[in-house]
Amino acid sequence: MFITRWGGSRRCIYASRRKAVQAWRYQSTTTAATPTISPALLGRARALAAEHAQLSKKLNCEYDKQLAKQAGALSAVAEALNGWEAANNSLPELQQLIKDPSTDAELRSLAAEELATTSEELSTLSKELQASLIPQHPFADMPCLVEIRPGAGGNEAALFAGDLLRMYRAFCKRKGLRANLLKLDSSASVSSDDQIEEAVLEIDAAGAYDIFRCEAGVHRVQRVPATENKGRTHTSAVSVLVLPNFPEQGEEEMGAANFDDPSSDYYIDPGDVRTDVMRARGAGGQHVNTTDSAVRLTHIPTNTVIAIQDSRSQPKNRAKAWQILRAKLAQQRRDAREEEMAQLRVSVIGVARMGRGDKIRTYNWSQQRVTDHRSGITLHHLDDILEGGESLDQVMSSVKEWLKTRDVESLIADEEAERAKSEGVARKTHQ
Amino acid sequence: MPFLSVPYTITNPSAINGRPETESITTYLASLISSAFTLELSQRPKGIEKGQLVADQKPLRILDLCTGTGCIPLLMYAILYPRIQNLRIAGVDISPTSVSLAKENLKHNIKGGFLQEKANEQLSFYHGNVFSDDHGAGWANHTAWDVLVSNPPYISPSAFNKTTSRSVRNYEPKEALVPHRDPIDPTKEKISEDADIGDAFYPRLLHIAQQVHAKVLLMEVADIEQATRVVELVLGTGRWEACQIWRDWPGARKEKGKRKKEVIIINGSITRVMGEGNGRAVLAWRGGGGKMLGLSERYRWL
Ligand SMILES: C[S@@+](CC[C@H](N)C(=O)[O-])C[C@H]1O[C@@H](n2cnc3c(N)ncnc32)[C@H](O)[C@@H]1O
Repeated sequence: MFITRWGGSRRCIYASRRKAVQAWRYQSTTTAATPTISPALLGRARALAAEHAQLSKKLNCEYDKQLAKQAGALSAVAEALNGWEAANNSLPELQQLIKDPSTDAELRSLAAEELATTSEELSTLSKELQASLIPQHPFADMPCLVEIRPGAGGNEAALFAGDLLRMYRAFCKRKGLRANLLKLDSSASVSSDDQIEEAVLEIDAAGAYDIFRCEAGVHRVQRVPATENKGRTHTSAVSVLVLPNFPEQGEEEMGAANFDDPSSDYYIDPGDVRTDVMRARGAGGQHVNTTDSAVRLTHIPTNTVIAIQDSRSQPKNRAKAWQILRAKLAQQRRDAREEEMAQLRVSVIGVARMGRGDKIRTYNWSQQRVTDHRSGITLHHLDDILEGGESLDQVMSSVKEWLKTRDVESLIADEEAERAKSEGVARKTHQ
Repeated sequence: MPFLSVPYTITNPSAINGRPETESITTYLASLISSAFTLELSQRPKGIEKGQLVADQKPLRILDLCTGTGCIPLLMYAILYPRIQNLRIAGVDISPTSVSLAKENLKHNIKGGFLQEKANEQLSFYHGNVFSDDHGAGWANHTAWDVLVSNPPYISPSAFNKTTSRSVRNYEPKEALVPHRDPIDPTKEKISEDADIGDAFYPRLLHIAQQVHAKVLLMEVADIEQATRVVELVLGTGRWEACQIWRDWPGARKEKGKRKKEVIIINGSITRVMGEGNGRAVLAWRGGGGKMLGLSERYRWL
């Protein structure tokens, strides 16, 4: 039910993230640079860029808000493809120049140098191009809620939950993200954020969901509890849940402006609505020439039908039918969203229940290390991480990079499956 | 101005306002033709370019008899042109003022940007009497028309007095609504049943459909009783493959509780009744007409 978008705002997040990733890459060997791009993805990029070109052409003739929005969403792909193709096209020329025996030595060495930088550039550009193709997460732009709950491990887990809460609050403070503690249930006799039964942190900033979604899952701690007199290391776990936070939209405060905003619950694409004007009663046809007609609107995608024949005025009936249709669809959308939230919750809690096997990250006190099991990154700056410092940025970026790689992989798989299917069809029709 | 969608039409005292029911059935007919055409294009044989198929295509020819304001041709053109550029549509009316009004409406809609400039060449309106065999008339010069549509006068004299709304009686021309007693010679007093007068145009429309080799025929009617009588007439000619009766909103799904498919058995043959509202039109087809409408040949058994 979500529309896939290729967001423009994501680019700047990536830009800043890329620096961090590069810094980290020198310490880790998990991600190798991919100099080329899969033909399937290249095909997809070209198709999207062509669509972008067409939209731009249309926009040149006539400005249209909707079209501009679509074009904006695709511009990242078009730009990235341009850069990639320019670099890619210059490679054979340079290679030719180096191979050619008539090239003089100085020029050859210049060409070799140029070839080296271009290949390096190409690898960056390929990554950029792949990144531009990943559809934006449907909740990416939203603020979020972070729920922290201790799992197995009793007191120790509750204490670690407190550590994580402090870590996220410090992180938000450093990043200038507004964080409100919506809920804090403490298991300690005196309410404090030391021992936590449950905490809910609201991060009230657009895009917070995208920043925090990599934090969802089971965080494991390995340390010697203060109460442990034999010096044994205990392992406990805390589950972190990240949910998109939908702003409350009362029907009263909805202005008409929202009707034109496709992201609003009240938005309806006029092309999706079929209007029938009906006689309320009587013989109709040539027998009647007045316009005391009922209006029926059918929202085709959801098959929602609103018929109004209250007023003798046709425009009034029409306005009323639209009003009701909007409210009804908005309600349906809210319901669907809640359903989605509920499922999200189930799947995250499901992960948490699976326990150790699905831990996403381990915090080890005695070694002062943090390992993220998804990206494989290990850092030895435990304190800085728990203080929400830049080391935490590094961990989070590594996970995002990992997510991105997975997204690209599934994009390639989808694209190839799509191709195989259409080729299969083509083959069949040949027979 | 009850014709709500683009294109819009205006009227004057010599013609009647286009009705929403007419708009509804016209829209339905045009969308059937348009989507069947698109489907055919998508199933074109391998090796044939889409553009080639379009270029090779013979023009689709549509004739509207008793055109009044011209609202039917204008609406059909607006719906069909985006898919089928090779189009010819003509409208014919007995009233010279109606003909110039229709021409006016055409100009209006081109100027307003609702119709393509090309509509000037592809749409034409002629003065003519459907009851005269004057083959010199512009529309008759083309002997073949694929689609024949008509919203002829169909109200019987007694219904005119009893069932029409007062503003219809006061402000609209009776000649546009009630057939003359004797359509060929209005002065001649022919003793006819009241209902027969209301039905006067239909045998003639069937006759013309035959002359112009129409493959699709759509005639508006007053109610389900008249629709049934017209279906009898159509079947009686023995020249048509099948008929449908359309209600006011032929595309509408039947309301809950009602039967999903509605049929009437007329003279032993099954006729489907489409949509909701009053009985409003009779559709008949033959030859390639079923394909033009996207109705399969197995239709009659469905
Ligand atoms: C009910 S109106 C329909 C007008 C228009 N097609 C519509 O749907 O709004 C009938 C039209 O038929 C015209 N008409 C009546 N007798 C006719 C005849 N013998 N030949 C041609 N047109 C005729 C009238 O002038 C009138 O415009």
